Amino acid sequence: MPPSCCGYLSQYTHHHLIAFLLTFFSYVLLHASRKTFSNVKVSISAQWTPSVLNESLSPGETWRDNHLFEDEKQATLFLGALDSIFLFSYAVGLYLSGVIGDRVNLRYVLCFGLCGSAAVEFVFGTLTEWLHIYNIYLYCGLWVLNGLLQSAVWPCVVAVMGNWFGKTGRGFVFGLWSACASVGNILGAFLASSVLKYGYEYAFLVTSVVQFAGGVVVFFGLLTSPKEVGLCLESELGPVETDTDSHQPLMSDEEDEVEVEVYARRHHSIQQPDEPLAEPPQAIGFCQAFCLPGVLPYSLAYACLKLVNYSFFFWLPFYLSNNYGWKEAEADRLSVWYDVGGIIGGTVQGLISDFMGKRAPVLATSLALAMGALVGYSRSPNDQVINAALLAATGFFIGGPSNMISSAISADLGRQDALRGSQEALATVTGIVDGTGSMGAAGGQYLVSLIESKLGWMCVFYFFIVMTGGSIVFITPLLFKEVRAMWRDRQALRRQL
Amino acid sequence: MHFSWKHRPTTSPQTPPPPPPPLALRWRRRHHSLPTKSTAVTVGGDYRGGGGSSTVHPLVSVCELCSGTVLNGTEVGQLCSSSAGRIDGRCCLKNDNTSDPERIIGLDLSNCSLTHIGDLQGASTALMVDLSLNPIVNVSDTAFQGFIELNHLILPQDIVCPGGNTSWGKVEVKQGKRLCEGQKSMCNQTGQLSVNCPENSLCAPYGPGFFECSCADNYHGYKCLREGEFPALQVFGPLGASTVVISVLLWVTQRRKAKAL
Repeated sequence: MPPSCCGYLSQYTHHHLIAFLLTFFSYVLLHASRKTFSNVKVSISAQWTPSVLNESLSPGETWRDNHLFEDEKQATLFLGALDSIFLFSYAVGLYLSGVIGDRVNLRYVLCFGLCGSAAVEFVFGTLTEWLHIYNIYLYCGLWVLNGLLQSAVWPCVVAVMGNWFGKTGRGFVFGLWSACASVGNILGAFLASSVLKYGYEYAFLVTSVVQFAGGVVVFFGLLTSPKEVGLCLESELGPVETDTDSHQPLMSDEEDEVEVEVYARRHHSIQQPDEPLAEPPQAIGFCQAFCLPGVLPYSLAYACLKLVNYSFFFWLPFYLSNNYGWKEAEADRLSVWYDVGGIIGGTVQGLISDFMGKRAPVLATSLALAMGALVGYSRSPNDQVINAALLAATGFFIGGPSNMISSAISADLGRQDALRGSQEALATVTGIVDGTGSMGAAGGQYLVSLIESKLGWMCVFYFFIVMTGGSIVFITPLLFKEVRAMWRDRQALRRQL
Repeated sequence: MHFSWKHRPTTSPQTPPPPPPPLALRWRRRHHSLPTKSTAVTVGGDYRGGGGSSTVHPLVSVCELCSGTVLNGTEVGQLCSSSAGRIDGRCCLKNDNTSDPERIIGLDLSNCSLTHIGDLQGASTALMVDLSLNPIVNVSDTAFQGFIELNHLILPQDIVCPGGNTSWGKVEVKQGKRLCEGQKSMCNQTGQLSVNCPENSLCAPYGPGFFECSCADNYHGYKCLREGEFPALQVFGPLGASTVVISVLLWVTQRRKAKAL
């Protein structure tokens, strides 16, 4: 597709498409293997425990030789603890790997994260089963390692996407793209269910091999930036910068300076296309990135939001079968609607925010509606159709903003104008936002189980509502700032007319 | 179709963490009338060589428990001569096919001054076991576990047939001996609780008064959770091929002309 300056999609070449697909599927595969783990939990806990019948069965090697845990309840608790361990190490890893990603070639970091985590999952799920090594410390250690390795992926894919897709279409493209987590959930559920009958170790084997293959493909196929094929300068990077003519930059209100700077850089780049190689230390420091405008509020807002989002990811099937008495397969199938809502929500809201040129108002509106949706969902009648509809609505209003913050807004923040000098902040900023979010999510898993056991499900939903409210509170300063800027714009426009 | 990474000791001393279940939880339905304590093993022992007993070949250890050989006049001797077996110590050995190793078909431990019967696992293929004329006070609960083919068991008079009378077709007391004949399967006994094996497994006899749940056709592994064999080639062949193809394709279209940044 020859690049042309008009049209929404015509600026994109096949390189854009491949970069989109490769980063998309990298995260799909990663999330698929994550989902596999939650879907094989029943089989794993069966493998770890002796059979619970009042008469123990013979032969013992078939029925009661494995005593990692005495009963399935303890195994379930341990699996829950593994989830928390994973999320914490993932959160810590995100802070680190973003920083690394901005300093080392993104392609290497991404490939390393994919292949390394695939190898760890293989050891965790397949090798220990083949060798019959059942040891909780080994499992914990491997899962910590897995969290660290997996954390390398998200900042890298967002950074690559941020490199390829400019601010104009970013909301929409990123909204579409951030469906990757949900698509990964669906793929993971499919893969796990289709090979689970051969044994849970094969579910791990298949997802880890597929993930490893993904890493190999990424290594050979991914262009981390348009600059690698010499595309960026005039026509390709164009949309990123020419955007500033028509819209205000999303993260800044100092319009005039930007243009000057952009032109200055364009010329600069033409003369020195290998500029980043010449100046690698330009990557941003961790604390510096934390202090960028918008990073802290969005991180905290995302912590609240990801808590709610991941609680749905981890607890929804359990809640459905627990509260309504629906079968596990039905509950699994139903919980897909939350993902569907999230996919649509992310895309639509991204699109709206593109047209508005502002993200915070869209987010705030959606989050306010999410609080309503949560109230509605917590009072859902025992009817699968109504429940699915409410679930999709909740996914739309919670998953949508969540996807938007973790991808489009992270990219905005990492590419904001305060950074002109040093471009390599994308992965670091993404890591900070998502890392803080994962911290919230990790703590949330514990809190949800605590609240549920002490106070019941209704209080869990109140907790979700409070958390959603909390994320609104955190983006309020940005909301005011953006609304004021919009107001000023409109008045300026009116004066011109 | 068992899954055999670990050889399981039949008695509990070697199974580490779980305390031996209380008698009521045992899968045995009926008990011997005599108190059982598997620690007082004087016969047999762990055939894997653990548990303190010396490592001996299972056949030898059971057959050499007692001096002398199987005498022609005894029941085991008759069985052995009628089925053309070979006498070795207190055992009668036979191989069905020339390729198979010899197995014990009869075990004659009569008049051996045995007081405790612990584990006779080396002889689990026996058709006939003679323990008569011994001052036995104690027979381990699991002594005859796995004796699927045992059809003639001769005990001192005051010892109850293992698994109780219902596990045997005929029980008679003759000349100070108790004869237990015709082992009954635990699986399809009428008038008894049906034996409930878990999903994917079927009940199979496993010695007098015992049953085992072995995996049903096509199921295998721990708790019979696994079905069929993983089609590794059908999965990984196409996957590998497509990985190579896509990698090459993308390399050619994307990265071939890429400049290092």
